[in-house]
Amino acid sequence: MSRYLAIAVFLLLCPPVSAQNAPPPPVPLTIEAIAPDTYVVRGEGGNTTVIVSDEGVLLVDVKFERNFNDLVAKIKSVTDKPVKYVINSHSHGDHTGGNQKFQDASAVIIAHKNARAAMITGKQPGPPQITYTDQFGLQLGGREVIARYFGRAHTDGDTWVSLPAQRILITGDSFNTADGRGLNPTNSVTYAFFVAPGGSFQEVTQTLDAVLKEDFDIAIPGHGPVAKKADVLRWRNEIEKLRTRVTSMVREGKSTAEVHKMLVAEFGWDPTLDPVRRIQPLLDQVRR
Amino acid sequence: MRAVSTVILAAIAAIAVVASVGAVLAQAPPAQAPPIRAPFPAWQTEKITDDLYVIFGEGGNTTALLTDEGVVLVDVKFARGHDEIVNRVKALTDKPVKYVFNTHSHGDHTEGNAGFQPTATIIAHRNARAAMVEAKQPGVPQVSYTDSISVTLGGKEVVGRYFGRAHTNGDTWVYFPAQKVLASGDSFNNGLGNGGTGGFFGMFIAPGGSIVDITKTLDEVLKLDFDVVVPGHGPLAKRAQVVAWRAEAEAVRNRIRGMVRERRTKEEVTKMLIDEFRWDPNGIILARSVDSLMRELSQ
Repeated sequence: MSRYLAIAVFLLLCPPVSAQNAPPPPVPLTIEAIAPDTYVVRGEGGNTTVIVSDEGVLLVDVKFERNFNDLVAKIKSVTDKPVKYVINSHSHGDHTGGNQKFQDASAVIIAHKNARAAMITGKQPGPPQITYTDQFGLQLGGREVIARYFGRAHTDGDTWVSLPAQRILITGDSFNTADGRGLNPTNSVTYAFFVAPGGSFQEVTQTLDAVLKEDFDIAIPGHGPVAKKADVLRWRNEIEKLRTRVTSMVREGKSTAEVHKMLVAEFGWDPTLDPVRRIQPLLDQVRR
Repeated sequence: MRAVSTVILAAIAAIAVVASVGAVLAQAPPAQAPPIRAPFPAWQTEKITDDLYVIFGEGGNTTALLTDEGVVLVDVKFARGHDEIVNRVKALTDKPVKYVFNTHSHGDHTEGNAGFQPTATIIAHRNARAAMVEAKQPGVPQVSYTDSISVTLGGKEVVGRYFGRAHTNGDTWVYFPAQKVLASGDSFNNGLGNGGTGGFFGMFIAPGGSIVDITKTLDEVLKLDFDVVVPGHGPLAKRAQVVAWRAEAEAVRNRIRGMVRERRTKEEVTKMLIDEFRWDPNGIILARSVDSLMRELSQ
């Protein structure tokens, strides 16, 4: 039961190599066109967005290190230009594991200041060369991306990348469409909304409100299939509903067992995936 | 004095190139204005710390940080200075230039971008980049930011900060925390000629800049921990000179504002700046900025 969760947390937070067990072979990746010269590579780790220009390629997120060769092969299947820039949506290893290898190939990595700090603290390889605090723009061969920090959500260093011309927003893990289990953010699947260290269940809705003021049609999530802006709004409202319900139960003095029961009964969470632990930061905050 | 003769020599050398002083001169004055000669210094490399150098020459000052993994430059002068900058960097290190900060959009600081761009990432404030796009300048930066940006190379950090309007509306203050050195751009110049705010490269509020906001901006700048300043133009300076510059900016502003309220003429304001603040009667600043200073301070 908690083994599944342990694996999920392991995948989210840890480098791929385990001392005890032989690592599983990497899952083959697939590449899908989202807009002209704009692709998403899926299969393992966080989604990678590939933005192709005459002057080089810009990536958002680079999966685990073990996915590097396959990721490069998928990029080469659509362009012969070199990868010039990589944006990390946040610090976690399933989005940043390829950093070092892309750096070795002369790419410049960019992330929020807090994301880089987390990578330094976590002794992760390939910390970004460039950091920002509020907003940055990147222009390459006529392609433009605007990256913004809107406040805490999944972590305290989440970068939201927009492609204004294509009306696309790349969200990182503050918006996930899960692994084939639909768009319900409060469904306790592997990549449902998860407040990692530094993130905030309280602030995520404010952050999402700011995000939703952005002009976009397509949302490329941190994990899961590509979605629409309306899905991000639904996700935001579900998180608020969940937070409100849990907060009032805790204030009424309800037990953890009762909260667990409610999550299963009212939000359809899988009882075998230790749902209460997934909202532990919220419980801690309310009880404080 | 050597410094003075250097300035005179450079002024003579600069006559031929005056036409392209860049965006600074984009707003050309009426035809009756005297010809303006830019007293750029002679080419020279000066060491600030073991890993930080300033390259003087035709255009704004260039700062060079040396690391094991490459070089970070701040401002790259005119396009015609590219080879000289490259040669001077090569004399210090065999590492390539990886990053170039532009303190603002003007051509005497950014024209060299294009020559570095194939292999380096150019960084400027969003408003500086927008001004360069607007003016169709070559070598527009790939990376822009709004508030703060930091580059780490070979274990060394360089921080670009925007603190509000000053010389323009896109001034980046480039800070080297380990060296306690600040590259200021033209929001702080170590004025040539008569010195202070009134020299040839004195205190110039260019389009987008603000004489009202510059003191607030400088107050934020002075919260940084630095000892040495690489000014936009002129020799290296100390922190105390930035403090004095800020005080003089406020004095100039208050004096002009008072005269504007008394409905005094441009000629009277000009005379006051020459008499009371030693502004160079033939300098670019007096020629370019009295109208805009009076306009901003009449609001």
